[in-house]
Amino acid sequence: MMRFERVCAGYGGVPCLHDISASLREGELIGLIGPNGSGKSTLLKVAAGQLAPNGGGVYLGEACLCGLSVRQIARKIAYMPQSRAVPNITVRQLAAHGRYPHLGLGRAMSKGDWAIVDAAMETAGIARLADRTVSDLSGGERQRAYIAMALSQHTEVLLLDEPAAHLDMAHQFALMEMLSRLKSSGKTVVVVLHELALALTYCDRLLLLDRGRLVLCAAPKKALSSGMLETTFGIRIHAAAEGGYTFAPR
Amino acid sequence: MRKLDLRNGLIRGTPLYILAIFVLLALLVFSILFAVTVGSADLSIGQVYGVIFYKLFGLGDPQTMASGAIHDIVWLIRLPRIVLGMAVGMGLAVVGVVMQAIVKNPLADPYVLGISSGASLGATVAILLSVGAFGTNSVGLCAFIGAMLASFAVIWISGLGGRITSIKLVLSGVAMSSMCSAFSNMIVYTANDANRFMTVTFWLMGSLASARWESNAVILLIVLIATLFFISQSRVLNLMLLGDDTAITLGTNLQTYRRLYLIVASVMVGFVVYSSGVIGFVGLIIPHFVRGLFGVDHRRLLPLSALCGSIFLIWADVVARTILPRTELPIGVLISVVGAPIFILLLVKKTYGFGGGA
Repeated sequence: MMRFERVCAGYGGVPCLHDISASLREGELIGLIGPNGSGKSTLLKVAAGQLAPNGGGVYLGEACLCGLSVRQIARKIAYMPQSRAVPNITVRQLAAHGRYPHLGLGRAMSKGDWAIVDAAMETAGIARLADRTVSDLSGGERQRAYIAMALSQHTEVLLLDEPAAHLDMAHQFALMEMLSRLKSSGKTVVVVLHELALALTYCDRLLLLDRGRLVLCAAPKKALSSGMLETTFGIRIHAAAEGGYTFAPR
Repeated sequence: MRKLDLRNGLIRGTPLYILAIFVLLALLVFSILFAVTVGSADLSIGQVYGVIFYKLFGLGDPQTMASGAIHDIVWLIRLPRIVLGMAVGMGLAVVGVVMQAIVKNPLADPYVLGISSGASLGATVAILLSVGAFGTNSVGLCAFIGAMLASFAVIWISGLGGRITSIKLVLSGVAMSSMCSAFSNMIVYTANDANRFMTVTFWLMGSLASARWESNAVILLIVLIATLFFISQSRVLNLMLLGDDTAITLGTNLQTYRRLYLIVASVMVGFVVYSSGVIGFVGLIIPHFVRGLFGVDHRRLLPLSALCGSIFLIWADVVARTILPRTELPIGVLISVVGAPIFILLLVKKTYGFGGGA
């Protein structure tokens, strides 16, 4: 579905990513993990076409992102950045922005567009707050409103940068359940996570970054048994027999 | 009781919006019809409408209606002024909305690009250095050129080194303003001509007195076209409130649009300044007022602001013409005197919010 081929990237001449190759499949939930500053967000930006790589390329099927316009990319990839504006508009209006790349020259929303927006809000679990103002909502609700916008884009790929940040445990689980449902509908979902427990529990595969290099790309069980997680994060991880994980300093 | 929700507007729903448009249109027509009967010359309503009916439909007696003092007052003085007021009010309100969206700041006004100080520099040059090259209206033309140069310079400066950001726009606008006023002051100081200096000052206070049919046609046309253009761009303007990063993820690079809108807006303000001097506050109050009532969706905000701006300026001019006996108050002064308290009132209402935000 999506392929990274020897991607190198950086900001203003300072390289942050070195030679990253990986390929993501359809209907997969990928966890992008790594310590602070390891290049997770940068890789996600490159994947979203927001940052042009210095070397290598990102491919969507056979097409290189570099050959697509921002509008074409927006129809294929939805990207939720880490920091977002909090506008004084209703949730429905915000979600409707997601239809933007699909609208024609008149930018008129058809009934079909609104149906997609409603369905997206339903999926994101924000439909009952549709007419509330985004800036009046709690952090978790805003998150959902933005996810509804990304879902309205109706893309094959969904990239989320730390969607679990600022959420309480229950909401984190609800979020991951939702992402699991989305991947079952055939989307490729890539999510940057800081909560290793979430990544280990819900993701199909983990991409582990360390200082700009991809050091591991494996299913959670294999990733855990390889010991790479423990070395990279400098912690001890214990998988409990009844499921779940405990973490301890080294 | 329902809480006053000024963020999303008090008045929601499409039927109410359409009703509001019709009410405002009716109010606009009424304002024009009323304003034309008011003035320092004592004309009866019958005389006034007699001239208008004669001019529009050819009804009535050509002897008394086609020429003479009554004809001149109604057709050559009052009506052009009202039409100009309508165009200027509409233009300023619409540019206010657009500028606020572009710089993502509710405090932006049509003059944020340094247009007003560019215009005043132009006017100063024309009046104090007696630039007569452009004939009778050289002050207006020089002001127009000054405004254009200043705003294009600001757009160019803020685009240096990559993207135009709202902060760079505002800061280069401020820089351009102080540069232009420094030059104006230098000219005023070295010319040392008190009479002409007064002319500059009066000109800067804004007035609709120079309205003439020929220039009105051009200005009204430009304002209407630009307004329709911006209404067609409502979705992009809405997107601007979400910021560049989000817009890019939605497949739109706001940079191109921002540049285009700035250019259209400065041409529009340039013509407004050309015809009426610098009239402040309209572009600030009207969008705020409309946003408070109807919310931040530009599809509705723009047409409503355009109509409100027109009506507001027509009435402001009526008051400016009649409040003082035998003379007229500069309309810019009047609007600031009335506008500032209204603006403060809006600010004090804590529930008021702008569409953007961090």
